[in-house]
Amino acid sequence: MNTRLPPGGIGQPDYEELNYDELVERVDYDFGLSRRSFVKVFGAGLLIAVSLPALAQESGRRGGRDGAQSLAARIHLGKDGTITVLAGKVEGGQGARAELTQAAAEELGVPAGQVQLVLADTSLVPDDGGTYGSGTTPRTVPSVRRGAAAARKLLFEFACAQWKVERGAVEMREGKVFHAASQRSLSYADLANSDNAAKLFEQSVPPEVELVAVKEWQVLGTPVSRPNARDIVTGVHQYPSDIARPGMLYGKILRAPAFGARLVSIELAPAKALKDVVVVQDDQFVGVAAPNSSLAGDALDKISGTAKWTTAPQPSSQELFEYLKQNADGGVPPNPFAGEFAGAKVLRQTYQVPYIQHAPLEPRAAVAEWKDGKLTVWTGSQNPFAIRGELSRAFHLADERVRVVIPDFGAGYGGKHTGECALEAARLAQAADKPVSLRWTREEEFTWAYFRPAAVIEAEASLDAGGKIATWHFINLNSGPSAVETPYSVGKKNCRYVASKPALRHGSYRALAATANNFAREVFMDELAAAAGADPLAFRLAHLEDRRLQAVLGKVAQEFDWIGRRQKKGANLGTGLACGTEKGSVVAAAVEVEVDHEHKSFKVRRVCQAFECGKILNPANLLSQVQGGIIMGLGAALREEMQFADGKILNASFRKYPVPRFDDVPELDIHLVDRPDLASAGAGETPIIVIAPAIANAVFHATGVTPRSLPVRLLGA
Amino acid sequence: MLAGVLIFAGGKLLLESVLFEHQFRENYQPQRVMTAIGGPGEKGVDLFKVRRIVSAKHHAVREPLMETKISFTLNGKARSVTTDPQRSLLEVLREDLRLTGTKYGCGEGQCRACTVLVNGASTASCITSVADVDQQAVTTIEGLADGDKLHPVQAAFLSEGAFQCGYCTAGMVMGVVGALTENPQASESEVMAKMQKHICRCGSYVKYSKAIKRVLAPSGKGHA
Repeated sequence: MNTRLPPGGIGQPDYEELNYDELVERVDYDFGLSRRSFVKVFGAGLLIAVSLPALAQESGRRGGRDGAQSLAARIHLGKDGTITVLAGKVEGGQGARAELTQAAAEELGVPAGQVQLVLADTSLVPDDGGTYGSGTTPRTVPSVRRGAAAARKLLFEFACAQWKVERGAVEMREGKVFHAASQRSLSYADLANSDNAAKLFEQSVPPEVELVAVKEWQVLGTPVSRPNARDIVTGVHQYPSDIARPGMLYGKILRAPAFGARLVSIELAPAKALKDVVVVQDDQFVGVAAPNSSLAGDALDKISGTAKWTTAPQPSSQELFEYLKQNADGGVPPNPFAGEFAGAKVLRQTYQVPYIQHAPLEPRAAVAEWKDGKLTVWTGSQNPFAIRGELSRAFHLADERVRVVIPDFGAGYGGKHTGECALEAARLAQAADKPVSLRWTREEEFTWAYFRPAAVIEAEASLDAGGKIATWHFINLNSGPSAVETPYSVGKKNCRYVASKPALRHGSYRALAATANNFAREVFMDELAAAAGADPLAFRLAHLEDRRLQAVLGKVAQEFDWIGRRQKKGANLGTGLACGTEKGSVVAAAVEVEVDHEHKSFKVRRVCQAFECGKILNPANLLSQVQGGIIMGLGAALREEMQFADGKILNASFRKYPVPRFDDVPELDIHLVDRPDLASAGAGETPIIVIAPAIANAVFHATGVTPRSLPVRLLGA
Repeated sequence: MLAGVLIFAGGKLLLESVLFEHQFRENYQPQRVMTAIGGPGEKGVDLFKVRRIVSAKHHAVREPLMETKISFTLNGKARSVTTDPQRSLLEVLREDLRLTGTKYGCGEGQCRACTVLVNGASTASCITSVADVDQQAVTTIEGLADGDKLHPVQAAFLSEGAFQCGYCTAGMVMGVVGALTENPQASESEVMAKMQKHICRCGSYVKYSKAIKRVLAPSGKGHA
């Protein structure tokens, strides 16, 4: 098998493949679709009122900003009144399904319950780009709204033409166009049954179409719940790992004993001798498939001991930060302002952020099925069209022979951009000539999924006589450029990301490198404030011109009673705050920690966060995203850290890698700032970026010692 | 190899690898671990399971056992499977019986996405062998609703929109139902102590807690 991700071992990371900076070069897709397969998916009862060739020409523009270029590619009106909206985004718990349903319903003028939303089936939906970078809200929601608004316009035009009345004489009411004077009404089903409906929907989605004004919103801006929520609580919803196909086998893959290990030889006969077991070797790829997982596991056990491997030296977590510095591309850049310090107060610090895992509760899973030379894969991924590309390249297939379906899956947090599990399942299914389900184990997910990159961040700043930042030098080694720029007004600045040689295969994460860069910057700000003899809040405000950041900081200071709590600090208590901006939204948080000096431990007692992402589309879902970001940030701040040596992950389980649980949750005081005057920005990422630095700053306040590494530990712990 | 994994406590075998309580947690109670490993009742430790877990942990070659007929009550109906008795209940539920509402999350009882009820007790099906439920009563998430009528715990989780990706939800629901089956008068803190075993990686804990409060105080009193 010709994959670029050797399943048995990790080679040199391929940055394009990893999609790390979310600007992956992607091929232009061109897929065909027969009416038959379309009807099969939607059910025979639904007659499609659009011409299918219109779909066949869909292709996502680079970046997937507006995948649907014809109305038909975005919206289908059934002759029975069914309204189906199509989008290339995925639902992994972040709320795209509710939000996109709301967007369509709002503009169509129908209740949300009347919209059926099909997501992320590459044979049906337009390529709206991967689901990452908080992109669904600012890009796909407007795209869906434009499509839906165009459909509504068609309905109005159709009604006016039928009744020979002016546009002003009709109105939308309960999902229908009404003509009050004659008491007549027409619905989307009537439009679908009209003679030229198909032709009308071939037109491209007009870039300028009148949208429902924010103040008129009925559906957007309200707490619509996830449309398939009931199926979640009843267990009926099928996640990728739940998909079953007739005759399906269960797969297991031989994993290398260490990163960088290469398979030299293996004896397959003992597994091949087992009844009903399929064994595949394709260069470094070795896998088995059997009628159940235990049998597959047994078969793999029979042969894994016979495998001979070559190993290569691998860095360990002990030496990680030294390793990243030594391998910095072109060396660690010097401070260009070093000659301008005369007489100024200068502070220089180094911050360290470890590798961590996303650890979504559903590990990677894929079901692959080959039929007539065509491949269908159901998998959990944030990037359906890119996975299709990986499969078509790996198996030398034209894209239209590969269909990738992403059922609503068990989360990604930036960790499921790649298609390795899909490739493995497809290779097994090809050999077995039967559908194969491959579900990674927790250990595999912890070991072979890509990691949030580690970082070494060097920061140096000088303060002028007035206590303002005169020069600012900030270098991120290895983890990425997101939020490497400072939002503060400083005299001169030099903010850079410098690549290094990754010690582990790394990739995207919730807010990317913004978690690392905000940690370093915001902790450094507190250290500078201390050097300037200023209060951390006052010091930040003195350097802030961004009104939105000022507003969330002010909100947090007020709600948290920053001044009061800071002054009446108890012996074991500390308060800290942090702010930041990313992906078009702004956030600030203040936290209170309680330190147990005897046990060198601490507990986060309270987190107050103010978050603003423009106009709020769904306050209930937004609250979930903010809460989730805070809790995930808490895990990274308190405990999460990959330990590795000799190419092996040493803590590849929830027992050794303890993620937050119920009793870790502090008192949460969350303030969602609604700004109807601003466009809506995504919210899945930014709320996380302030948690670790606010906690570190609170520990600094409580103990007088600044934690400069994550996870935050007390001195001597 | 086994010596490092198996420890004796109270005259019974304990598996280090299935100590689902965090080691740093104060409420770690060996008795509860016994219940989780041994399944419900006084059965103690199943040696099939010990072998299975140990071999899985150490990649030792597991020899399949002779297929055995195992009969149990599943969601109120009599079922039987004829299979290797060492297989986990989770695997048999999902792969043989196609009840996929019960999820795999970790395979070692750490996350409780796989929670089912065995004779009413919350049980991690990933570390329970199918042999363990022979002649027992198993309830999965699919068996909770009464036709279209949701179980009150399901209804509360739904009305709070408690979950995000929802992958842990079935386990959470079963955990709460199990806690309340065990002790219908359980206080909130007693229920929450048991829910410590469950992981929600999306961090929906606040909404889950609210939903659990709603279950415990349906009249609204004490409901934040």
